[in-house]
Amino acid sequence: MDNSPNDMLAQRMQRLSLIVSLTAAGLMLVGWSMLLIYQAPVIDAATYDHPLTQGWPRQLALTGIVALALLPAARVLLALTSYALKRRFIDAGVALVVLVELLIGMLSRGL
Amino acid sequence: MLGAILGLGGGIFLVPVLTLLFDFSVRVAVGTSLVAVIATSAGVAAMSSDERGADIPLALRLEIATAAGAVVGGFVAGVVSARTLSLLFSLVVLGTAAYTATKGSGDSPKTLFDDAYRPRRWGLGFGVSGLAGIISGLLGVGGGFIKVPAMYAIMGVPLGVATATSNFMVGITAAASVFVYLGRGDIHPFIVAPTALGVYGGAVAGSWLLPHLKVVWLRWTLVVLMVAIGIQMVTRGFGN
Repeated sequence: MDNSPNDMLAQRMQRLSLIVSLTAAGLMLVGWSMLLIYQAPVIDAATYDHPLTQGWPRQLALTGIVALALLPAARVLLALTSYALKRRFIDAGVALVVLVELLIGMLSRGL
Repeated sequence: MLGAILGLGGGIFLVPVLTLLFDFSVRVAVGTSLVAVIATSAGVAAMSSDERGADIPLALRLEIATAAGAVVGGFVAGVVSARTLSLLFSLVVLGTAAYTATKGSGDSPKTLFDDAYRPRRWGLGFGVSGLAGIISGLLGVGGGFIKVPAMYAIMGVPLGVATATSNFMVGITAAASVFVYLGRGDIHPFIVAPTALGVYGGAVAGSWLLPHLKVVWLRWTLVVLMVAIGIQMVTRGFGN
């Protein structure tokens, strides 16, 4: 496979992955840390319904998780736009198919 | 770290650990594992450079089959018993280990990274990718333990490129089914968050380490780990 036109795409993907993953990690870390500060047990079935695990610490951690879960779709979208702009229509079509499959998975039960 | 080095999402280690050591249900372990797989992929991608990056066109082509399989697997997992999942997991892992051990060195590339390769046997590659996707949705793994041997031993892709490409793919594969588990309530933020954070840090470190390793070490490390995990899951499956 000819990878030379992918160098710029790879760099953009690296930047996108770095920004989104660090943001998601930060959100998860803050949400989880608030739970630890109150010294509630983390790995415990009873914790699921504890008041401290509801509210904004939980929402913060969940937001980080969702942001991380959306990153792969963002990377595929980046590939799609990059290939389309470079007129690599076959590669853009392949990326579009993968993106549609991802969206079907996301929209079918969750998002 | 192991996931990043071997081109795996890490789910193949995490699901057994979460079920065997922490006694979580298989579905909660699978949901947690899917997020961790995405974290591994993100960590590797954040550290990747042009010289040791993924073959993105190859990844996207194979991902057509894998992502479709993952969506199907995510739905089917809701109706399959925990015992069946454990035994299926072990069967796939042990079969892949046997193939990698016996077939993986013949005409496969001998260097980690090489610009002169051309992927071959696309039909078989697509078939294995589809299977990896179904397994991913069913078992909460990224499917890298199938994809890496398939790309390396079947399609003739250098092992370093195969692991980087697999790391790119496993994130997409996991994302195709993770929202199914989220919608079903199988993802608990205070279990997932520390797991994903630890996996992300390990993936960053593993990505830095990969170019310093030899092909034969990676191949046999992969085989040994898969055999150990397969045996553990067989034991678990018959114990349910």
